[in-house]
Amino acid sequence: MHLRDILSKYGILFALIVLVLIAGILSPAFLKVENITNIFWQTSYIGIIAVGMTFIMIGGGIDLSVGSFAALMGALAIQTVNALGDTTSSVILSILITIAVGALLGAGSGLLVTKGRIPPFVVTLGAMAIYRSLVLNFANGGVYMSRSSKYSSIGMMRVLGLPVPMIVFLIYVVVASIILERTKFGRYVYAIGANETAALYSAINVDRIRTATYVIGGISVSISAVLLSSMMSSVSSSSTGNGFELDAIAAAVIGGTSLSGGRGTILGTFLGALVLGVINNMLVMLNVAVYLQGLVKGLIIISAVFIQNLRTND
Amino acid sequence: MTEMPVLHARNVSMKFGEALVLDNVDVEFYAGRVYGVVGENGAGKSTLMRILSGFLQPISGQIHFEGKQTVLNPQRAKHLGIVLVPQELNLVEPLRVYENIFLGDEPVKHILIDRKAMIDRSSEIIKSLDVQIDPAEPVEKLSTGKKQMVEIMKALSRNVKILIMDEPTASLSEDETNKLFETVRKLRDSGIAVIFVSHRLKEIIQIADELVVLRDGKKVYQGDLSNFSEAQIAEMMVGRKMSEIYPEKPTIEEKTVFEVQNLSSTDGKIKDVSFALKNGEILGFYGLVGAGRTELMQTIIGIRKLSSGEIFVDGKPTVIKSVKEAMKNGIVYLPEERKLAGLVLNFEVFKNTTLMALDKISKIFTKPKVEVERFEYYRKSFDIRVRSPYQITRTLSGGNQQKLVLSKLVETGAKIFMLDEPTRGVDINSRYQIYKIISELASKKLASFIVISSDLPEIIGLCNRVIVMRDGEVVGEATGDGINEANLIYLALGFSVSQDDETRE
Amino acid sequence: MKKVLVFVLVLLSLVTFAAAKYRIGVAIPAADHGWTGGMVWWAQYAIKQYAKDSTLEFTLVTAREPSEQVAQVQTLLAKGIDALVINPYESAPLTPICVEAFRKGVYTVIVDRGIESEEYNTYIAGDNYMYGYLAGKYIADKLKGKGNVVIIEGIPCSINTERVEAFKDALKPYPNIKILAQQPGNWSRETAFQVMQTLLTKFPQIDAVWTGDDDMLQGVILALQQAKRDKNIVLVGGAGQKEILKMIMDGNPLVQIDFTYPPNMIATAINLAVMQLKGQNLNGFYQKGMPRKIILSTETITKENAKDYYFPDSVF
Repeated sequence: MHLRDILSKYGILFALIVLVLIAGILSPAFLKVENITNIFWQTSYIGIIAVGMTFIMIGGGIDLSVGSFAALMGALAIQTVNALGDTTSSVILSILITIAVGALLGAGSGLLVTKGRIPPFVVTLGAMAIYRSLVLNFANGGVYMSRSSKYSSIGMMRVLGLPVPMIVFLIYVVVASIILERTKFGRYVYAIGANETAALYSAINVDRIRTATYVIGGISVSISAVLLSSMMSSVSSSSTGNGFELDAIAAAVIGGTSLSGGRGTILGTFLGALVLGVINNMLVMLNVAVYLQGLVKGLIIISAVFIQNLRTND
Repeated sequence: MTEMPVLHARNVSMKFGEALVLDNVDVEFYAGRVYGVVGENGAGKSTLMRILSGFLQPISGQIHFEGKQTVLNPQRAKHLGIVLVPQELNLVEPLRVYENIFLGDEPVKHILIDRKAMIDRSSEIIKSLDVQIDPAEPVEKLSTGKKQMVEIMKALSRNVKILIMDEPTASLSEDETNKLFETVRKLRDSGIAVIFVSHRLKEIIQIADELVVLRDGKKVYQGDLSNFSEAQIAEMMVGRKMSEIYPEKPTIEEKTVFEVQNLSSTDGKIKDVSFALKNGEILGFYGLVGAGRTELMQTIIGIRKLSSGEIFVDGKPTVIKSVKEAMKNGIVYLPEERKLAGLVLNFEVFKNTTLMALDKISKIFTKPKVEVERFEYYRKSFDIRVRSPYQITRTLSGGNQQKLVLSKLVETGAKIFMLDEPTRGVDINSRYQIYKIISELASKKLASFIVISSDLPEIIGLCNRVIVMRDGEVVGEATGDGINEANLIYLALGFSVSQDDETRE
Repeated sequence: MKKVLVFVLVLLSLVTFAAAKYRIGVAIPAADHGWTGGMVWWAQYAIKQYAKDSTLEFTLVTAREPSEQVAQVQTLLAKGIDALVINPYESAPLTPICVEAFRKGVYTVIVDRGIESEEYNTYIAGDNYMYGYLAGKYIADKLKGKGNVVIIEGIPCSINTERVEAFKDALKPYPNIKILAQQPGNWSRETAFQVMQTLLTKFPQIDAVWTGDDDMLQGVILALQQAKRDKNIVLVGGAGQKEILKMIMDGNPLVQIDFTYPPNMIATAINLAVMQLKGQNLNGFYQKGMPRKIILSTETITKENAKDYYFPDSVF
């Protein structure tokens, strides 16, 4: 294999390794085990959303609502636990309810896109505004506080020394990867995103598959929202989730997912999310001046994608 | 002919990777003649043209220009007056005609671009070609034919000596083609050598003074073509007799496997269509563009809604609301636009073979090993040429892509195949193989076929019976000797059925 | 019969006309973090106070960006208002429309973020300098002039810069106080949590943390608890958020002080507008008119006075 082929295939991994090495050299504290687990932890909730986003994007869609969607789901989880009381079973029940509602709302977006024939950009832009307004309205612009210590402990818990959000993230990546790359459903997701007409003529139920990608998106958002809201033991109706959509889309795109559908992998998105996480962590570690952080972040993102694209440039 | 050739490619060879695409080709081009270059896809035409215009360097052989050996690159070729008009036109759409003609070569007066000189020169060129184009018009407003003219004018503004045109008529109407031919003749008479690459043998016969035939990277003929028929040229290209291209028509069983009664679609494109398909039959559908043949098939497989009518599969009334239901009833459709509707081009080839019949192989998880095995079966039996099952579909030739679509349909185990323009854009060799596949399946009574085609020789050579449609209705049917060009065209145009020579006049 | 009906109708229209004697437009940014959320809440609270006063009619609008706010104020002016209370989203883009309101004779109250013109009636704002300075002074005193300090600031903007510079001014006389890091927490609990998590791994000894507001302080507290380093550390936030005030009130050793930058200044501004329209003047002022410029003092909240600042119903 030529260097160029290797770079193109594992480019994002290389970019990540280079980034970690640079950060490690500039600040040895970066490489502490504690900091590395922190990065996984800090990446987990955007990463989980990005995994759902990857399904939607490969299927030829986009979801701009994930940020306010996450705030809404987090608020729902907190309010349900507060209503049901501080017991293990009520915590589990609340999480299940949250995931079910997330799936349902995802299905709603999906159906508006497929059956309603409204462009996904429009549907999810509308959903973004609606979800945010619901969250603000119920909290009067304030904060949803968890009154359950059991619920709040999930996000801070450690198993085998590893933070729970990190463990959930890793398991989610593996499961999603299998669904997307090893199942018939996953194959169909790629097919409808790459060539919808051909998929239609190949007896694939395009609408159903596409709606299902939004359901997965909704579930991902819910899981992420539960982790985030339990970790913070609160949801701010005004600020929680702001900008998540851009980070999630960026993670997917940095990881090689095509904005026009049909291409991408979960592993790529995982690495893309880690690149973003490492950048954020690195900026703090190296105490990069506030005004220059955007510059550094932007340059790293562009170079990471540039390395990957060497393949298409020849 | 004692004069010197203006361009001479001497024993030129070219390799891409391991594949030898040009094998010791030696061609001469003289001023004031039109050369028709023909060959199947992959015969090496494009490669030769790109070498002649300096975009590729041959691995061996030389190029002589006006008797002197030269090494060509695009700039040098342009300087010498060798111009390639590519199939995909190279115009800047929002710019005006004269701006396009002089793009990159603008006449300058006192540092500024001399707009007046550009317009004057353009008008002269337009006049010399005797076409109706306003030099100040933006190119995007012109028809395809006129755009082609602008491309030629661009060449003329640069003192062209050799004009190479790659499939120039591919997207032209008949009128536009005739206009183009007039221009080509004018250019020839003014002493330009025109190299004309085309798939359309009829046009080659019409326009070319001399014929160059390439096959598998070798030149198999160069010379006069006045004595050749289309069929003879085609035989040279394929290296096989035309009579061998169409296999023997299958015998038909009496049993009706598929029937449509009084079918109409909600959008009015299909009106009261009835027909029946016998076991092992190849039933042709002929008609002009817009006759409703494609719409009929789309209505049958449930992509369009039917307003009335019934469908019978093996004699049983059947309701079909989606492609999936059609497939479950053993009916599959090969869409007209292969790249748009037939294949997922960025999939590995084996995934396309199994895309439609994935349910048979997998419940939840895919089984790539089994899928590759299935693909390998078709690779062998359909002669699908790929480097590996993991090759990306986009990189296959048109013929191999179409065989891949067929493999996808056959893999479903369907009994009734509706093929919409199955050989459009497919090289002759693959066409032959596709006909063989159809014929074999029909002969063994494994399947029955409905073939939509606008290619008359194909309909005539392949089908047991032909139904002719016009404006969404069935207007006639031909069997046996009735399947001939005149009869089918007359039916399609809406004349009453007659094979009488006098009424034809 | 008909006459009576006409009479009743005329009377009714007079009554409804009289009901809208003073119309006041309130334009503020939409809630995008805790403090702006608080301002929205306080604006609604002030308006609710006057619910029974039939001579007053309020219109409250919130904007997500400057151009939207300009459009909203244009609409308010077209509708006809007697007073405009506005917290401009940004100074420059909102200046022309505020000046237009002033020139039309609308009583214009600018809140917190000034405009680039003197053509307005009253300006009321918090004291950003003291907000940062008092926090710095408190930390310096607590650390007895020696220790490692971390700054987690808000979204980069002029208000934020003014506060951070003031904080550093307060620390200048203490050469033994070292600022280890200065990073943005974007006024977000989640971001502040992440930043603090990372800083804790990098620096084994942190003696004090100043965050630009109490929202971020809560994220910092979570990170400290998670790293089990929530002992012997001086924490200062700001703006008087109710959860933090509760901690101070309850005598929580982690947070013992807070400084106000009250979002309820919007409620004060609304009251000022009402008083002006009704011709009342400020108690104790000999002058008839309202003051032109009011800078609210940054007040120090401790365990002793926290209950005066604690509004459990408020969202902030």
